[in-house]
Amino acid sequence: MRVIIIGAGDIGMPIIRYLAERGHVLSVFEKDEKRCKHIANHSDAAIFCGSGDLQEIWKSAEAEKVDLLMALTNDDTVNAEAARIAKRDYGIPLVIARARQPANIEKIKEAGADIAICPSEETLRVFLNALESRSVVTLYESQRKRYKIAMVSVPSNGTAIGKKLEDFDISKKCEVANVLRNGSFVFPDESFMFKSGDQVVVTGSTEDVEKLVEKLRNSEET
Amino acid sequence: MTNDSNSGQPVTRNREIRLRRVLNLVQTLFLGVGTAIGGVMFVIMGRAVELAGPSIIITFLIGSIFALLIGICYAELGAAVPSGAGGAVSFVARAFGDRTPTFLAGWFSWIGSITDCAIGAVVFSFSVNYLFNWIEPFSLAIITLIVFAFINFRGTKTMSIAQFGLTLALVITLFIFISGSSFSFDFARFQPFFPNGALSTILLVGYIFPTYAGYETITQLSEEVKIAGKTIPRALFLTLAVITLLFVGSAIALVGGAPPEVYIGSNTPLQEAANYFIGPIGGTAVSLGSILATLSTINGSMGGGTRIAYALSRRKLLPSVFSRVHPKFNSPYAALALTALISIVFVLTRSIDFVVYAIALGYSVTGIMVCASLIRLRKTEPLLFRPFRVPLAPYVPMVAIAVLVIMIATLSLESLALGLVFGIVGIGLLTLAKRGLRKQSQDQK
Repeated sequence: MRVIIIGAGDIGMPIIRYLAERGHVLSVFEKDEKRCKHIANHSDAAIFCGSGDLQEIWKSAEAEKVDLLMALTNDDTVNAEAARIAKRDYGIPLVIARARQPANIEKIKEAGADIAICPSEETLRVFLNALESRSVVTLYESQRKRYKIAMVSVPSNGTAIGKKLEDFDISKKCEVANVLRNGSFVFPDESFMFKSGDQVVVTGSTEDVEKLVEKLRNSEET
Repeated sequence: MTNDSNSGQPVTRNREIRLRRVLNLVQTLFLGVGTAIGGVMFVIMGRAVELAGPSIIITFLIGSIFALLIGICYAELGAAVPSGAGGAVSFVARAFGDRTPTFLAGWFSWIGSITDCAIGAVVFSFSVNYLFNWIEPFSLAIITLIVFAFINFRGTKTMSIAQFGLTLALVITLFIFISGSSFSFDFARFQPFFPNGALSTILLVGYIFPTYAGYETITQLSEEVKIAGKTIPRALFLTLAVITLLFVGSAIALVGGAPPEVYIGSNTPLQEAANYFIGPIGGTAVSLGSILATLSTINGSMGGGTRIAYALSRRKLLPSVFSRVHPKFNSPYAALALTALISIVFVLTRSIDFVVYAIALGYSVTGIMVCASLIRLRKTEPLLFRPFRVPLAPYVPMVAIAVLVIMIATLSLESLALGLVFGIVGIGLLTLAKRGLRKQSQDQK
């Protein structure tokens, strides 16, 4: 696969090494000359020492033949511009871009990125999951749309045990999608009762999901 | 996760088979030395000493400097484009596009490969003949070429573990030759140092240059080399250092170890000399070494030459017949047949000097194109990061071009005529290919 990587920083460099070791043909755009040298000494790529928005670099890198572009600089404007050039001018099939600010995710997608990832948001999610320990895991969260998917475990002394769905005052903006019980999925109906160890997937508006999650993880001691 | 993709799996736009990067510096060096020591040095030494006397040592050193001038240009280009499929044609194509300069680089490096192949077959046959005296050597050379054409038609792996053993055996052979000369070494044989004057020493560079030609082909391996940006330049310079030591060492051993009448006029000068200072076993060892060296040369240059013709045809610079591939064996049979056929024609000339000069011509024209590409790419792609940079560019590549042009002028008249004829035929075929292309696009309209 032919790949263009823009930005060889903390995120770009490990990706370059990963792809180069697997025999992909890489072109890297990197402004900083020291970083260029570092890539040359540690990996295999055609390196272009310049900013990702320079047209001549795209031509040199034969962007029209490229299968995947990853814009990984720490400048959202550059990443958005790169995604735009990649899609509009060269029709690159898959464009993955980094967003430094969560607010820029949509802008970068509108510019042309198929996937936009905000590392700080991803990191935050990991930390929050750790904070909530194993009982609650956030599977998906959109800050902008205030939408969330979470999975919560019913503790062994949980207050939810033996209760039905209707026992919970569930708002219309939130629902129990399914329940993982003994390794298989159960789709809760009217007769459904919670058991200890159930892993419950809850989707809906962030506030209501969080409220329901709190009720489901409650145990008798608290 | 905060992403939702609707594009799914990436679709690979171009199906290219990629080789894994497995070669480290030592392995690349081995392949470089193995490729560089072809058959040429086993056959030219006698005539070279006849023409230049002991000062042939100086000739080899000058040759090494010339090779360095071109090699640094290859080093910069090979390091900067580690996945550019390597080799002269890809560098020139990057600088000039699919146009006449690219064609000339490919066309003349094709001649270099063809003639390299021819000389390999001839030296192989002389060495076999030295051992067994079976069959007339030139006939054996032609049979050898036909056999290798058949092997290549069935498809071969270009490189294997055997190559490493081969190189090792070759280096050991030359080492035996060099150290063996101490049995009968006499410093008096270096007098007079310039029997035919210093000018003949310098003019002979063109004659010995083919021994150095070929070491830069390791840039063709750049796709298979680990950390090519760092490894390729180092491997190039180390290869040149090793082969310079071996060539100069062999020249010193030959001149110092044996009196000229032993080897001058012989087609197997190193064998005769080794026979003189080590005994029959020395001659046998050198013969075996040269047989090994030439077998890999014939195979490598026949395959390499075929690939060049194929690549030119794919770039629409040669008629499309040369990119036809055999459905079963997956080999470009027309390109292969022509490569083998012209090699046989060169063998039929029965003139070693002519073929040697033709190699020098082929590689020199290619070298000029590569140096010119370096100068042009510095202008057109200033942002391309070059892990290794030719110092004092563009002056050093300009000097390299000047040196090569002068060297071509010193080659024999026959080979210059050949160059002219080949150039004209080439341009004719190029025009034909372009016309075919134009007709094709008209038909589509």
